[in-house]
Amino acid sequence: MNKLFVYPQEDTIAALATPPGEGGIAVIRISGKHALEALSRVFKRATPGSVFDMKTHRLYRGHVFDPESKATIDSVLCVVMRSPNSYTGEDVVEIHCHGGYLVPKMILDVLFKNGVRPAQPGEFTLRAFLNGKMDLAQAEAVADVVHAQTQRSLRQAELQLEGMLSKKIEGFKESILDTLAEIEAQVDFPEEDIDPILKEEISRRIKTTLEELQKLLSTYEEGRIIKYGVYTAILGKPNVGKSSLLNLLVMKERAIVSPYPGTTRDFIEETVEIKGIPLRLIDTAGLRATADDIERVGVELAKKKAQEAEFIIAVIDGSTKLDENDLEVLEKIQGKKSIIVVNKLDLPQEVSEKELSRFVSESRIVKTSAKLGLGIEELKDTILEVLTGRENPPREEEVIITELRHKVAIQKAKESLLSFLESLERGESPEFLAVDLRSALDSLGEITGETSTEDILGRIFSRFCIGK
Amino acid sequence: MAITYPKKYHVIVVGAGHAGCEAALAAARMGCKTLVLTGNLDTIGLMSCNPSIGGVGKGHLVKEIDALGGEMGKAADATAIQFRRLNTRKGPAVQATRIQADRQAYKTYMRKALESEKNIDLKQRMVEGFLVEGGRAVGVKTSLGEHFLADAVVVTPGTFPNGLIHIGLTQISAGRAGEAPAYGISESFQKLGFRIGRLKTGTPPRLDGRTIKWDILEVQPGDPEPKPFSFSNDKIEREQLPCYITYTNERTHQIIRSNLHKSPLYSGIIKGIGPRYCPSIEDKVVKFPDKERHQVFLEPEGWGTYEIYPNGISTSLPLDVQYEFIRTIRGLEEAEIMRPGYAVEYDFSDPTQLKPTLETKLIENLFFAGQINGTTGYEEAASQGLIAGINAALRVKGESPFILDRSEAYIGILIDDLVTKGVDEPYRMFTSRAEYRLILREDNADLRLREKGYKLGLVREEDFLRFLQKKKKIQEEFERLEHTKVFPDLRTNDILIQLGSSPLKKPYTLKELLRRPEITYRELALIDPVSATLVNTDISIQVEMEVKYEGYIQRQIEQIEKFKKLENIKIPEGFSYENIPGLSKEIIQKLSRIRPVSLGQASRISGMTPAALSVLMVYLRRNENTSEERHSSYSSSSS
Repeated sequence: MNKLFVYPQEDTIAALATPPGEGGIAVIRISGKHALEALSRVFKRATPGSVFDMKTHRLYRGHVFDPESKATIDSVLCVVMRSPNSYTGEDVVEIHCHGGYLVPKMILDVLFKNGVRPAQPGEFTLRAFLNGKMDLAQAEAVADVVHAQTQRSLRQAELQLEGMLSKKIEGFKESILDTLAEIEAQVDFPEEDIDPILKEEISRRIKTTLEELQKLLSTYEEGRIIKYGVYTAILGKPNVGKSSLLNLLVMKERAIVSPYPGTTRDFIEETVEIKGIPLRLIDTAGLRATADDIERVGVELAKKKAQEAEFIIAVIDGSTKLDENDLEVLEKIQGKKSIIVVNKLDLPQEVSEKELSRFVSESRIVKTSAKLGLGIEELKDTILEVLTGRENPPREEEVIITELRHKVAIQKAKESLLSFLESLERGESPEFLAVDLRSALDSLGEITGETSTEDILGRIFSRFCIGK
Repeated sequence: MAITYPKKYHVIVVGAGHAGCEAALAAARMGCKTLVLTGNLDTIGLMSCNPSIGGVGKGHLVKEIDALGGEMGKAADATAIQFRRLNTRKGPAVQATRIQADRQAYKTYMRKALESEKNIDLKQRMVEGFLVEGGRAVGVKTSLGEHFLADAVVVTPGTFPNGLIHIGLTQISAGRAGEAPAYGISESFQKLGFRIGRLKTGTPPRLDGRTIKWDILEVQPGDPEPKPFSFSNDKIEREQLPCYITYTNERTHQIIRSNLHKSPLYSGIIKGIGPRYCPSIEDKVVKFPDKERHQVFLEPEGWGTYEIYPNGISTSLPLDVQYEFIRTIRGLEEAEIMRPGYAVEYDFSDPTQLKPTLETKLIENLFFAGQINGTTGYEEAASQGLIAGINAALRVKGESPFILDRSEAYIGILIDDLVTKGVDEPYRMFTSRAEYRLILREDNADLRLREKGYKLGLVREEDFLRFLQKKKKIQEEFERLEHTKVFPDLRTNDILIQLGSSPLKKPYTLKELLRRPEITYRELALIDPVSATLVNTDISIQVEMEVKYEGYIQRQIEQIEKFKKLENIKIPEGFSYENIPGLSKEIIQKLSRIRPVSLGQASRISGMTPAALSVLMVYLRRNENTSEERHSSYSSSSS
């Protein structure tokens, strides 16, 4: 199969066109002949009319939803650029959604479930060239871009990561190949003295592979977090010590710390590594009702940041009773990955954990004193646990997946194996069983390179004495 | 002084084995004056090894040859002593036909088939060299100094080029036992610049059936209702001969093990590489020491002889050891060897030096087919012979070449593998080589290829009409199944329940019923009288497959569409890979050597990387950019 060739032209592709995580707005680009069709499945216009009626190069307001759950994902602006007047020369759709990590990811995920596949690096540009949207000089650059793919992967860290992943994937392929060889031997050599396949044995083996694939899949979340960081907002009413906490985590004087409430009026972003996980921390203006216009802008911005953030650290002052501003903050963290930091442990405490436990579980409440530097280690441990579910940072040699492309490939392999098990259960003839195993190998082959017929035959001849 | 024969031919075919016969018949039937030159007129169409044709994968090839208008299937039907369908408990895609042939009858049939073509001249000559003018083949030289001239030459010399037979440590120069090898052919190719390698194959000793204790052996009869190979034949009515099965044992293995030092294979004398899937008994014993026994199929050579072919014990051990180990086998305790087993080494030409038409890249109008391309098997040889013959004729007529791709036929897979990947061992067909196995079935070979064969002029009018009728009936049956409703009456539901199928609650079409795993035409027949008349016919086989496995078939069709996209991106002949930035030296070398005809073929070259392919595609499109037609192709793809 031509899995070697990673650029099937007929597919519709999508990717984030803006850097991940940053910025208030993110742009998702979709290109291909089914771009409009894909959009129509996930986008509802605010004004009457269908996606197909949208005029080219005009912005349309509406919302993206998940057709499965019908849940709205985000309010967005969409622009359709019809072929040939687009960057790639194909029908192109751009979805301008809210920035941060979560929203674009959810939109991409829902697109990938609706007939679109992840774009390869450089693929939009490649299409642009192929469709005559670029001149010869630019074409040279495209070749370089494509070539750069292999050079970039020479980067040491990635090489190591990918090397370990490849090894793991090769292991899965070996085990699938073993099963496939047994099945193919039944098909091609019916007159040889080969024992019939043992359904239970094969089923057990494939189930083991499935479990391991699932385990690997579940590392994607963590892998992605490690690679791109977690977009984290620090929320709290004014003067609870948000900026002091940020400084303690970052370990340098960055935010302006003053005893006067409302000092941080815009927001400040810092990337800090906590137990191996990069947190992209946004310290926000304290949330409170205010008459000050400038401060109010800051507050609004903070609220928006809170919405976009994937992870929220809510800070309250433990030395004063909870007020309505605190409650507003605590309401904001509902349904999000979050922890509550009860600061000012150095003062007499007025807030009990019991009061807070209706917002998050007790294990997610940490008491600190930013002033004395107390509870910071505990805070870091809790962050790690909430984000990755583990108590210790990942070991160096542990394999995790960081690329969406890899996740999609493993997911496809998993589906093929599930379908294989069903067919096996139904008692399908071996040539049908082989179809699913071959697809699984092809999917995994997208990560590590294809399995050739020679590999299959080699396995058969080394295991079975063929020779009528 | 050379004598130039006065009659000029369109096509000369060198060799008259399975490749040569198909090549000559195809060229002649396409209207070419064809000369067949063979070292021995008595061995035309001779089966040099086992007296059987077909099998899983190979049977598929024979059906395709037949669908295209070749001769092998008809010859097999006419001369078979036993018919067997293999894999009958598996799905239709991997079911296959195999026959045991009467060796003498088969070659007599083939010789007559050649002699019946008025466009074919047959001559017994040894070809020693080739006439080449300006990079183009124009004829051949024989050992007697004659020159024969032609527009195109098809070379099918089998195991004869520098053939060397090994029996123990004894070596005999021969192409086949008792027949002189062909000298000069390899050398003349080497002089022309071809890369020549060496391969090995082997054959078992032949036994005297009168000395075998048949009554204690397990019998393997033919199918009670034999199914013919050829789409031109309806049925076979003939008495069949049985085969028998016996097994080697520990004592057999003991003898072989203790005599390995006398084996040319294990003493390092044989340099050529043998096939892994057709190992000698020495190999089996050494490589699978834990296996307590190996099967031996005892196959009759034909109606007119007691000679027996013991399939499974090919060997090159010395004759006395052959006697010793054979007589340890149950039923063979007193067996007499009529002909010794042997291994044969022979020259082959690296098939990546060929275009997909089987024309050589080095010399125009020169075609290679069969074992010279590193394959093994009559069916593989015949397939190539047919394609080489067709393309030689098309070349003579100035028409565009005939190439089957991997999604159309096993023949396409065979040739694509050969010319793209080359061979490390004698190449044999397996269904696992087919990416689109569920589509490439024996039963639909005619639906896939009949029309192509007819257009080439190879399929007879009467056979084509027969095919059109079948096609029409299949279409009608599809429509009937879709439009005939079955109502949930008592009788129907009773039958369904008895069959272990769930009763109907609303009217169902026959098609919907047939989709149920437990319902085939046989079951449908109980409910629907028309279906009853179709059980086990060509029509129902097609319809049942398409209905029952619609999902799988649809998946394969989608894969084929993707495959075709790359196949359709053609690489112009003489395209230069030098100076393409982003391609490694190694890849440039590979591409320049194989010279793929399409991006699809390029993608199958071993060691090709996705990045290299993308770069190549960019450059190909850039070339296209300068031509007019690309504009229309883009606007159509983007609309």
